[in-house]
Amino acid sequence: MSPTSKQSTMAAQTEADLVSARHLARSYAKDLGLGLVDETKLVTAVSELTRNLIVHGGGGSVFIERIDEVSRHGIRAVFEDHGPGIANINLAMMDGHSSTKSLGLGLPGSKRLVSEFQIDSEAGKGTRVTITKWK
Amino acid sequence: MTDSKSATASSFEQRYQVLVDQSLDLAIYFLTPTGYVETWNAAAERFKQYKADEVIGKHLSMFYTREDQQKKVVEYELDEAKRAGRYEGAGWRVRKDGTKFWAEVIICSLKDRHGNLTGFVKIARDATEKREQLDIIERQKQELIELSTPVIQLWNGILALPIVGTLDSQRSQIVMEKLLSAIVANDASVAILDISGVPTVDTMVAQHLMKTMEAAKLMGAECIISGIRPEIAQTMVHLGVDLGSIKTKSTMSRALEEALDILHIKLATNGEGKKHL
Amino acid sequence: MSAEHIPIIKMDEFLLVTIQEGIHDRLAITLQEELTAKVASTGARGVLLDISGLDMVDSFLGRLLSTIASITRIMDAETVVVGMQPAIAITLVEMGLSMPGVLTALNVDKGMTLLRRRLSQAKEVTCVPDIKAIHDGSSDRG
Repeated sequence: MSPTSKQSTMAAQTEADLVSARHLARSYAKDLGLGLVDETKLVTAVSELTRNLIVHGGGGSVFIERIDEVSRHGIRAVFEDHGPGIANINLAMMDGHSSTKSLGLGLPGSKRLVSEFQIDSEAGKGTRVTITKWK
Repeated sequence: MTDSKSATASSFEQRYQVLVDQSLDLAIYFLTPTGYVETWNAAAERFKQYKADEVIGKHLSMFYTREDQQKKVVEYELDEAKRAGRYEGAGWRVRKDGTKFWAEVIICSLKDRHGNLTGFVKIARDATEKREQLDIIERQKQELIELSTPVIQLWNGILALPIVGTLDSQRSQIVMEKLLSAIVANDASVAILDISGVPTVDTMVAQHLMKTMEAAKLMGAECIISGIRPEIAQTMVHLGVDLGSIKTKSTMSRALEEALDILHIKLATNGEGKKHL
Repeated sequence: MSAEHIPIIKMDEFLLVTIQEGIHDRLAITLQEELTAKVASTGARGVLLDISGLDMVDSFLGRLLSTIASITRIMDAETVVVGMQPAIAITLVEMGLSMPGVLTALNVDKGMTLLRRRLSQAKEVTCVPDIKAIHDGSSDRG
């Protein structure tokens, strides 16, 4: 259990929501005082994963929170949908794999942009991706 | 029998009391299960400047900074000690006169034979000097990184970054960001990264260098690596590092020739084959 | 149909597009279509995509920039992506999206110089500069 000071949840269904999710992530990054490079990495990862929700998961929710632990500070974002789920996570995490015509950089690409990355998915039930970026 | 047992117990308590009272460097005191101060010792008084009667019955949070109080750091530490049996940490604490000191602390939970929490014992040390020394080292390290990576404008549109010293992950990152922002600030189309002063290059550093080149390319600038020493070239080949399309030159002057060539700046040559501008 | 458009400005034989912050996917696709049409209608010899105002490029947008470059190249107009911010460049490289084959320049001026140089080199190679210029540039010389 860690003391939490700030959090937000938003629905992600449309392209306008995608732009809002980026803005939300940026405001959290600025608030935490992340460097510009890390801020850009976080916003880009949030953009990738929110688009995943909208395109593959049929929409879902984006949850962002600031984490203040005694010795470290960071931002955590959770992307949750109730779409078809991912049958083979290992395959989805491989560079160049894609279920649509994108280049398949969404999941593995965003993993490289953050400090921690976790994906849980069940076929038919949905997908949840959790990312954390420590300052 | 009874007498001898109580004598042992009392001498144990006595020994313990002497130990706690005479401890110069360790503040040792007990807390109730909810974090109120129950006992006090001389070292605690020395660090925190409060006398026993000023703190006994008060909550532990009085020694914490306002910021830590708001973040509920005390609750977090006690919860951790309760959960794991022991909490170890460090942080800034406030003395009676308002000044701060860096405390290294251990909090242990105390439980009765049924496993019910009966309180905590807190052991703390004033580590301000150590902390200040670490801060100085960290600051000097940062300054060294800054100083050891100067950005030089060699020509209009050509930058040079001579890197001296070991490149680790953190420094590679700093060099990368510094180079790329210098490219923008100086409107430079070519940047020369000279690594003749770098003793070793491992796979990770080589990858950082390649990422820097790629990022510079995306921004519209060209990067040249110069000064790859023979042993580094050997290491890189042995490690299987593929520099791909990256331009490498043996010396800074050859890199400069290449850079001028990229910018379509022609050099005149004299009879001896030496180039003049 | 979206009512939004990104302005495409004609500068001599080149087209200049300035992409602003907050661009969404549909607008980006509209841009790709309109730009392709404009290259055809003007016979432009090069395209400058100015992204200096962008604070983020994700894989969708990065891929779109590459696609635009490939399409215009087939239409005999080189595309130069100009003004990418360092933080974006680092992020794209980290993601593994280094846009191979796409021309880049630090700013619009340098991008223009690059296009002019490539154009004149191409003309030198083909050895028929005047005729080629008259044929290709007839519709956009003013």
